[in-house]
Amino acid sequence: MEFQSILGVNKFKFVKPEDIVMPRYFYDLNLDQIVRDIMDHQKVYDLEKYYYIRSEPEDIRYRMEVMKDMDLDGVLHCIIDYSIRMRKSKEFLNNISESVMEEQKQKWKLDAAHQYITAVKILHSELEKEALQSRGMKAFFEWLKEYMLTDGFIQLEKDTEQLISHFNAMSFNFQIKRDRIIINQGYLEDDYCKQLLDIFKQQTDTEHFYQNNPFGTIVLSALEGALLEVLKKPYAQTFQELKVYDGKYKDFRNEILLEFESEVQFYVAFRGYRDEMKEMNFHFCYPKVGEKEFRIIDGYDLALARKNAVKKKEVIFNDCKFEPGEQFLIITGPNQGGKTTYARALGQILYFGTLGLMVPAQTACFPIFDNIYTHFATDESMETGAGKLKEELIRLKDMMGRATKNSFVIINEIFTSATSYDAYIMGKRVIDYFMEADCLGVYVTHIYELTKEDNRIVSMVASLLSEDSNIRTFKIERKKADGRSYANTIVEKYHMTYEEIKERIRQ
Amino acid sequence: MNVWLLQENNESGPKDTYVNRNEIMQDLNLDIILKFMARNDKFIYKTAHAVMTNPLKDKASIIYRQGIVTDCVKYYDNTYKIYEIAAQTVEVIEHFTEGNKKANSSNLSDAANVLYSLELLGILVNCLEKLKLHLDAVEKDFHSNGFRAFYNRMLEDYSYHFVEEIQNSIKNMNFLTEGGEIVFSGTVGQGLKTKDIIVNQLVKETFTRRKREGIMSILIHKLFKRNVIMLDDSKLSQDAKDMEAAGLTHVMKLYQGFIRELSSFFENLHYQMAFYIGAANLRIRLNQMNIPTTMPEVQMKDYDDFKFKDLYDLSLAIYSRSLPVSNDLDTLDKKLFIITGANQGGKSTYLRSIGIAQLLMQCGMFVPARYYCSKLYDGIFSHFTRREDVAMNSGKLDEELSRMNRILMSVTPNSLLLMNESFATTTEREGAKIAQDVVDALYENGTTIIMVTHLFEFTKTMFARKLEKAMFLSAERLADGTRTFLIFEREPERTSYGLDLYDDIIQLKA
Repeated sequence: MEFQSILGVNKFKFVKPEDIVMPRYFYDLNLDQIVRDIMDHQKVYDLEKYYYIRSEPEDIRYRMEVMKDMDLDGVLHCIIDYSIRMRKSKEFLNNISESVMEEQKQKWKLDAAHQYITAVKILHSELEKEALQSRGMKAFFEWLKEYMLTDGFIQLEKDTEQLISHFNAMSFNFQIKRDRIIINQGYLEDDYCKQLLDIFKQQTDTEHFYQNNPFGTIVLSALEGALLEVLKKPYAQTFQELKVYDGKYKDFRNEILLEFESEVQFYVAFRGYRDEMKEMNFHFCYPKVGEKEFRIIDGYDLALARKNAVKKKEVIFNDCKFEPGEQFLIITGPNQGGKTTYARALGQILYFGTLGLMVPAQTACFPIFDNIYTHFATDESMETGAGKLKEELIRLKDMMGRATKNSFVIINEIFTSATSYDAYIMGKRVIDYFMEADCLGVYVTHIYELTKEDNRIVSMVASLLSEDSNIRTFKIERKKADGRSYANTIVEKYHMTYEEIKERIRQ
Repeated sequence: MNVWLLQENNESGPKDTYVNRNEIMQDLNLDIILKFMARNDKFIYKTAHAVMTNPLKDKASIIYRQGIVTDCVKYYDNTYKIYEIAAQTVEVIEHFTEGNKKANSSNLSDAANVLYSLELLGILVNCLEKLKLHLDAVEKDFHSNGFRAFYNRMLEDYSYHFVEEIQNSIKNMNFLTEGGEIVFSGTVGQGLKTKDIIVNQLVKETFTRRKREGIMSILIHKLFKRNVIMLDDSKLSQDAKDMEAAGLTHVMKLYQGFIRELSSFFENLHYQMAFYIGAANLRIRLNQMNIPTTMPEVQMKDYDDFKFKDLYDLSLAIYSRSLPVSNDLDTLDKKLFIITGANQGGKSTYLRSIGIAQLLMQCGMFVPARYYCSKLYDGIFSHFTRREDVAMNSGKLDEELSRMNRILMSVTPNSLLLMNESFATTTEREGAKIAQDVVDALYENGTTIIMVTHLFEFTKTMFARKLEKAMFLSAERLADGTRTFLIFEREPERTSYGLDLYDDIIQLKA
């Protein structure tokens, strides 16, 4: 198999920067926070496009295989190490345009090439030690082996190493007096700081080189320039070779290696995020995507889990299942009972599964959906009742237009500003529409009548600890909706419980 | 250098404070004792407080401190002088750090900053010299292992030769103001930038060198194949200055390490001596009032002798400026002491006198008694009824139980728990039940409990059970109602003779 990309069987298709936009469902599912947290793990790379653009169906497996290889610490570390060196190399290349002196420009390029060669060689030798399983990683490794045997690379390595060793041998000393500087060749070994430490009898392992060079700029300082002028005489030959080298190698970097460096961060970042979540005792699994069966065990909302972990609050895991013929889960139950969280968790699991990554659940399998469509109530803002309903309907219409036969639909607390009767009628129509269109979905609502008289519909209820208690378990279970009135939920909706009022008065 | 006066081979001393440090403080009237020790020195108060509430748990450490306390009492002026030198030095350090904060401390290479550090170092070294001279003069008086070892470490770690060497190197550093030369070495790094720079030499300029200036010297250097660049170019001379500053900063960092070390030496000495001076103050002032004290005898582990003669409540002694009523006790292997008896009969005082003595013993001090012998406890806990919560009120009980709950979370089998009228904030029946549960559990656990209680239901049951390791004590009340404030072994009685008190007070009013 010819290596094309670590993200898929074919090259990752080019997307115009203006087309890289966050999918519409991101905000509703809190994926904006989650993906931002993921990308924060590799900030230096621009990873948005990899997370915003859906994977090709055939690449889901391909990516999961690579992700599994990336689970090996050895693989992860050598790739992180490779990335650091490649960035250093790039930084040196960028320094060229900022430098003034010809010799310095040439030396930056030499150093960049040296970093590049080291990066490639170490990546190869480290990957060789690993038992790679994925098609992607194996093909990449084969390609890398061949690349390192090309004449171009071998010659580059030879020329670079030789020249670098000459420069490494250069040294100088200088004496600063009140009115002059005296410069000489050679390194004096007397270390004043060491002698001082001996007096103080202090034990220390740190070398007493300057941690912070006073001349931290890219450009050479006047003093450095003067030192260089002195060195140029005895090392004239080396500087001549450097000039030849510069002319010989215009661009030494390989395009595939550059792409690999960028694309592989998709996995690196996700692994960083996942490890962090695992450390907080949250589980992940590789889902089976593309199955007929739809079943998720112990799924949870990543964004909420992270927030709760900080507050040391418990996180509840929920299951989800569609039997053959079932199309819509209708979730009812008390406010603050975990309904929205349930819907979000489900959406997140589908998103990450379809992206070829791990999902927040114990086990998961589900079909491939063309797309996810969500409709969440926008923040209850200043809008009037009529305005809000209108705005909701406009969004709904747009969604109905775009959803295809094989979409997954998540609708959360829609039509709250309409009367119950109206909301029932409208809700029924919406659900029927999507069911006719062969979509699967979740519908979170207060209108329990919607769960009746249709075996394509599953009723799910957010449960309370016991019949007469008010304690929410945040468990969402298959259960007949009973239409119980939740008297206290109304109180809570207006934040008028004892604790809440106390809290408010304090503010 | 480590001071190691509070504990052998440990500079910071034991750290696990009593869980109910503030309660111990309040219940045992420590404030009045600490004030008496401090003689208006706030630092001594603070230090003694910290040291006393961090008990020692092994015999050797206690004997180590007892020796030093004895030296300090005997040679008060000489040891006070050590404390004084340390205190003055610490004051200088604080003064300097304050001043340094105002100066631009972010920039270490700032010449003013360097001078500042040099000055401080100079003062510190002078203080060190002063301390050494004083120690040399008085060391023959010291007999305790702690002081002897301290003196020997001073000889070894901070010798006069060492002091002199530092003074010399400080003089070299002064070239910043007087001019001199500095030599660096380095290699060529990435992008031809300098790398691996070290300072080879730092020399104060001598007058002979200053004369060799101008054309002649350049020619001489050329002859020796040296490359000499005159600093007439403004950019280059700025660079040279920066380089020099960076070099000095680097060297200064080393000095700073030493300044830190010397500062912390003096701070530790100040802290540790403060405790001993406080202890000596207390002993000397009690002596002046003819109030007896003694070095306690530390019982070996696993021996449960608990004996004392003429034990009195130190806080009361200080308060009344005279020797209060004292008590004796001689027991073997007792774990539970239940004290009952007359109100206003001296029960709380008795309980407190034991608590204070145990506390003082476990921080290495003398105790308020003619003789005191006890084992060491991992922890000393106190649970006293607060006067303000005697009301029968579930909220108060809640408060009381939550304090008890906190104690129960950290109490160990080898702990001492002092209880004073605990669980009296509810009905007697309920209180007795709770007391029963708590005491039973702790007694079985091996914890030593000394409790003052009026819960007759509870004491009756306990007495009837004839527990092997229990002892019942009672405050004496003569037939005419007079309290002698003496505590004797006796069966608990139903009444606490509160009526006496009632009559007393009511009659007074009438």
